[in-house]
Amino acid sequence: MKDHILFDQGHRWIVFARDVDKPEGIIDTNQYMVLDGNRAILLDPGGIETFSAMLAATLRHARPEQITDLFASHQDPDIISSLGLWDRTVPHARLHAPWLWESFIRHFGCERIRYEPIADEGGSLRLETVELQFIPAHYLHASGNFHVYDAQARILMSGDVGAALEAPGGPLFVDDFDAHVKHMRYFHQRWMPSNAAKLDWIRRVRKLDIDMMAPQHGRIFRGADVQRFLDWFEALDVGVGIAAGE
Amino acid sequence: MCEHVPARKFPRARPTADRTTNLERAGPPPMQHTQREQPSFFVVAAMVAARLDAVMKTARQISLSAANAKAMSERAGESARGFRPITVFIDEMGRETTRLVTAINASALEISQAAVMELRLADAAERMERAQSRLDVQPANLVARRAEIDDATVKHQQRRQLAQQRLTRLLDDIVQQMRATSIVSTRARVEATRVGALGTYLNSVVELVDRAAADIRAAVSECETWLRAS
Repeated sequence: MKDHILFDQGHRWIVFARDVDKPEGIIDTNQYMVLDGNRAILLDPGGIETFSAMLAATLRHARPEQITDLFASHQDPDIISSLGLWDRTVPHARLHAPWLWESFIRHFGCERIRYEPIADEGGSLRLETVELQFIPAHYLHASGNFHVYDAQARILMSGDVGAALEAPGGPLFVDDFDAHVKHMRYFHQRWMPSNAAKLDWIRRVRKLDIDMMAPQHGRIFRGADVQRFLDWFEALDVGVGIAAGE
Repeated sequence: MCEHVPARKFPRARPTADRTTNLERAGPPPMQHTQREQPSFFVVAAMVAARLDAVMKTARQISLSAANAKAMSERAGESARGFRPITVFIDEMGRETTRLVTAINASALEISQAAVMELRLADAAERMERAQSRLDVQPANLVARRAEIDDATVKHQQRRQLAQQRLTRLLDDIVQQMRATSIVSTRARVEATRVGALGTYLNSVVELVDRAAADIRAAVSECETWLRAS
């Protein structure tokens, strides 16, 4: 699994992605770590099948005792099915996840890690020097769902919003937005259920100062591409799965 | 027709914003009870892999330092003749060290992966056993599935044990390698005194090689301590 430092000024953002040894048939995922002194949080730490690769990759940057927090944007297996193994690895840690999904996420195994439910309106978490905000993103696609915003680094970890489905081993960053659209269109049209939820999220996120938008699948958006994405997503009609049943 | 689902099956009531909006007050989680616990073996193996990955650059530094010293000693001509074979030797040792560190890293990762698989299989076996204990009659295919789990467990145990044996040998090899590097460094310092003005530079190269070797020895010692304790 590759790791790449996205931000390194006082605290650090690292992305872990493009695991060439992952089993066939599982969706490729991006995992993130925010490392701040003696504390670190893993954002959407990943599925059980990529746990070993993810563990080895994170330990290149932090000791197990430094991993004090985990975050799950929602309940999907590619986000958090590794929880039972993280429970054995960092039993001292806390998991921050939507209150809505607690009794579901516990099915992955959560005996020692403490579940910290996030209320619908969101919240914040201070590590050592940096404060991370949990931004509501409900129904995009899960009905309880949050993104993570760092105002200092100007990074928004946007979960499934901004996701793209591409051949394995693709670049980490969007370099040609127009060419990238074809990798995102179907995902957003089919997985995102609600235009109302989409517009609410866009309204909320346009108020944030974002230099990098980091989704859970596909490439990361930088600079002007963040606004390009918001404009594109705003104009896109989502929820096409309903029409399939007619 | 939908059955009424008892209220206890719903998730608990949504938390109040007051309790969850800001976790600053909660502070970092208490660690006392876990500080006495040893990390699981698959974690230790992954820590070894990460630690050795960190010294990869150091291992490459040895070769780079040797290449620089070789170039300088060639430019120095006859006065540095005694130094040149040393640079060749250090360069070879640098490459061998990089090879060993890469192999150690790979073995440690394999141990971690196999240990994780053993854990998952042990969990599956335990849960299947609990299911079987509730049955008066054991279905044949369940018994067969349980046997497959046991076979897979043995396979991953053997994989882990072979990787552990390989790792032990490789750690010994690299310790020997670093001892040899120290001996060559001592010889190199002597030769450096004979090359006049270039000697200061060559000595600094030898210093780099010595420090790199010390770093690698320290990393290996740390890893051996973790493995012994696990």
